[in-house]
Amino acid sequence: MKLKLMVIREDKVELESFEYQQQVIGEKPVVLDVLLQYQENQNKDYAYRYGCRNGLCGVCTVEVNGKPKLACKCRVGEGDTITPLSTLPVLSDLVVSRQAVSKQLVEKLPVPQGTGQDNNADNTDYQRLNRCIECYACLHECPMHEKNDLTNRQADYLYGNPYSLLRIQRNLVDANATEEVKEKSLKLARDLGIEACRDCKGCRCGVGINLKKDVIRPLLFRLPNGEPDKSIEKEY
Amino acid sequence: MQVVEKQYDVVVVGSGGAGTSAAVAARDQGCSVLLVSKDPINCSDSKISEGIVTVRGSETDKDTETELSSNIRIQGDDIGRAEHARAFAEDSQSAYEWMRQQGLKPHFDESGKAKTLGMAMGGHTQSRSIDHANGGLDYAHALRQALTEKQNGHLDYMEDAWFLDLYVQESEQRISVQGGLIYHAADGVLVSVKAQAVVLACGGIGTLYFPHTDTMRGNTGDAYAIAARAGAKLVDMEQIQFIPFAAVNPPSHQGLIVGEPVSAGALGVIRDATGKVILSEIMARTRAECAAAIAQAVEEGRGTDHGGCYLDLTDNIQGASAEPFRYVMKTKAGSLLKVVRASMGSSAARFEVPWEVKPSAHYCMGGIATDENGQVFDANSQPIHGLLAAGQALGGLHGSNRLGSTSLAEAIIFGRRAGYQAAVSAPLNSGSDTNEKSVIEYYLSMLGRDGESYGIDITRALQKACWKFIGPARNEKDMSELKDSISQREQQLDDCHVSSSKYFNQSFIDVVEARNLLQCATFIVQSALSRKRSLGAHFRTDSRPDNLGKRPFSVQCFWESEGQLKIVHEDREASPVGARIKLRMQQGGKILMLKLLRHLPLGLRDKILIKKYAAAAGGLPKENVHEA
Ligand SMILES: Cc1cc2nc3c(=O)[nH]c(=O)nc-3n(C[C@H](O)[C@H](O)[C@H](O)COP(=O)(O)OP(=O)(O)OC[C@H]3O[C@@H](n4cnc5c(N)ncnc54)[C@H](O)[C@@H]3O)c2cc1C
Ligand code: SF4
Ligand code: SF4
Ligand code: FES
Repeated sequence: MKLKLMVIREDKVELESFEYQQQVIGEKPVVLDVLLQYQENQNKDYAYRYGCRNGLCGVCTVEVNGKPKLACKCRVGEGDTITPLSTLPVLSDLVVSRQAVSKQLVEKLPVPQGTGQDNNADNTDYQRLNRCIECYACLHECPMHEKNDLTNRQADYLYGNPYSLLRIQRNLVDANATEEVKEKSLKLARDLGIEACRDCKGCRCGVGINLKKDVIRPLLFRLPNGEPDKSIEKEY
Repeated sequence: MQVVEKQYDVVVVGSGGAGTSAAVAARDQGCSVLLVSKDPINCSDSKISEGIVTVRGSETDKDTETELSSNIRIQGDDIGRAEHARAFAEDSQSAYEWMRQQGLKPHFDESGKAKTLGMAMGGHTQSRSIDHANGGLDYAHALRQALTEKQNGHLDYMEDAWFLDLYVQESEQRISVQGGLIYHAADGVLVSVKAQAVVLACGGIGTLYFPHTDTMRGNTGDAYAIAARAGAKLVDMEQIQFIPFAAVNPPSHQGLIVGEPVSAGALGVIRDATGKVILSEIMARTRAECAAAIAQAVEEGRGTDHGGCYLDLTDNIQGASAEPFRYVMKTKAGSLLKVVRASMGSSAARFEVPWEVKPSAHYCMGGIATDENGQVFDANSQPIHGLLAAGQALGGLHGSNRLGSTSLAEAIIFGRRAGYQAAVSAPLNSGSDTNEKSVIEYYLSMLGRDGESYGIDITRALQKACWKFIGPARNEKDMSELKDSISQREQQLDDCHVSSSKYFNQSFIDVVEARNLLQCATFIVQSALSRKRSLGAHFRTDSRPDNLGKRPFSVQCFWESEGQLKIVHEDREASPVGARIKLRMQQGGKILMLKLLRHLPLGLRDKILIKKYAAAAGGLPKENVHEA
């Protein structure tokens, strides 16, 4: 099976061809199989991330033919092109810098204190959002996230993304969160630029969380003049 | 590469359960804390785990501290330290309460009490394991929440940051730690950080056996290697837990966990390649017993082509209890079944055909020698000032076998203890020189080195050899050969190619990790050679198991001089005979019950099983009960 992989070192960018050798008969390799073999056979210091090989740690996200996919889960086909996430600055080869997204909410997002309210509550909405593996696939084509300075590896991100909104919405469905925590969380959503969601076609989650229904729409609804734009209404 | 200087009160290495809780504990004491993680923050074994947590008394008040600590010690053949087991039993509830504070939500019953699995996991005498809707993801989100909070102290974190080595100062025969060196791959710099204390919470060695492992790639034994280089003593490094049931194929799924002894149902058995039953009543066995049975069969040439055996659960779906069994498995082991379906097909996931499985490296019971607060010991069992360890990095809790669901609790219990200890330990600086300069020089001089081979070549060759020779089955001859080949590979490593690029320099990372892996292989092989008889997870094909009644001892190692590893044995306090007999009888009783059950008339058997499964699932859906 022939594929193309992107190699990025300092400022050199190239697409390299690679012929994947099947390891067992009838094998349907995933992207990660290809990356492991490519590093072992052809490009010994190829940089890529993986962790669990099982769709749980969320670190292996790359783009396959321009779409974000988990390398450990996505099957590859003849002629596929593998490139780093286009939504974050590249450090080397397939590895992008994730730290600005990860740090965006630190010491800003209020944290529900104490327990006790959730014992007798229905926590399904909360648990649904905890399915998030932090793969950052949802940053793809997010107009809010695109407003950030994405060329600078050290820049902080002022604007939010579907993942940060998911974390905010998690507070709003947490039975332990006080009204104050909820208010502050909503304010943060506004500060991060949630208005951009009003006329956006909406975002997609890599593990199938319904971001439009379970995150964006409920958040927009809680904002002053909360009715989402008509265009987004149609989507649901 | 630029070297940036920083100063904090406490540095914590690793952002799993142990590192995160340690960092927060130190921050809560008002310290300035730097948390470093080579994987993206909180991406760790803690995150990818099943998310099942031991909490004493979660099912019944009869579950005493003594019962829990004695379970841990006896199932670990008493080679762990009694103080650690006691600390675990004392803190398991408060540790879980801390996780609850960070937003961890279990399933609740009508009275608002957290539900348990409803059955004792292999080796536990009580049902005391709490599961969560999204497994380890729930646990990891709670950790993330803990790091998001704004608090009095000051907590910075750094991801894509490899902690390389500790700065040590030796004076009056006392070692003290003064900080260390970090490669921050995301910023393309080396960070030289001074601190009064460092907590190593970056444990795990599964990658030494890749692809025969279900752990995160980052499990390259950094904690053990770094601590030993600073003069610490390691304990029980021969004790590597291989979970018995992992997928064998396709390559992308090899090594991933597909089952636990407890998820084998009441009627699951292990068969060799010829179809002969080699172990039954799996549900009442420990992981070590199951893994040893498979390793034995494979060693004797009765394994499958992939070097495994069969986990046969088909008897569980024979009668009216079939649907309730499926329901329990779906609700309690859903994530495991996903892997089964993907690797072995949907009839396997419906339990209609036996699963081809083999053991897979899962956890390192051994680790850095500490007291029960995580204070690290040197070769002479003196504290190394300012050095602490927690979580999987720490050794001496589990002994020869780790009971399911104890590790996520352990991470928080000892993480909080170590973080607190790091915060309150007064800085000790004799003013004499540390090895800071030579550490920085060592790593800087590696950059831009030309060479034929790469770190990855050495790692791959080592992984193959380790799986073969210090994997689930071991013998003297193979291990001695491995020991010799390791030193050759170490020389090769010094000639490896390392590029000079700043950002995420993979060749540099690979060489750093290969060195740690090689040193860990040395710890394991030499410890394993010195334990002449099989014990717990250490399974030797060339000797009989240790006979009961012998005084338990722990195998310990440390660097005597460069390249010279010294092995010593330390006697351990044996659990009271009465307690040991009682536990064995309890387990024996369970096995007997399961045996009897198998021979009951189908109707009666189903009745009992349905009741059991209903308890485990916290009630069955109507259609299942109806069918029964
Ligand atoms: C598939 C699977 C399922 C499991 N299920 C359960 C379960 O249900 N219940 C249970 O109790 N246990 C379970 N375990 C075991 C448990 O998850 C781990 O033992 C536990 O999470 C270890 O926690 P820790 O904090 O010590 O280390 P980890 O969670 O592994 O964290 C280690 C951290 O150290 C970092 N690190 C490593 N080296 C360096 C370095 N040199 N510099 C900087 N950072 C470094 C890593 O990036 C990571 O952040 C499971 C394990 C696996 C693999
Ligand atoms: S709906 Fe909002 S968060 Fe989602 S892609 Fe659009 S702008 Fe981004
Ligand atoms: S919301 Fe979905 S796509 Fe976004 S980070 Fe979480 S799991 Fe990934
Ligand atoms: S390697 Fe963990 S999600 Fe892909």
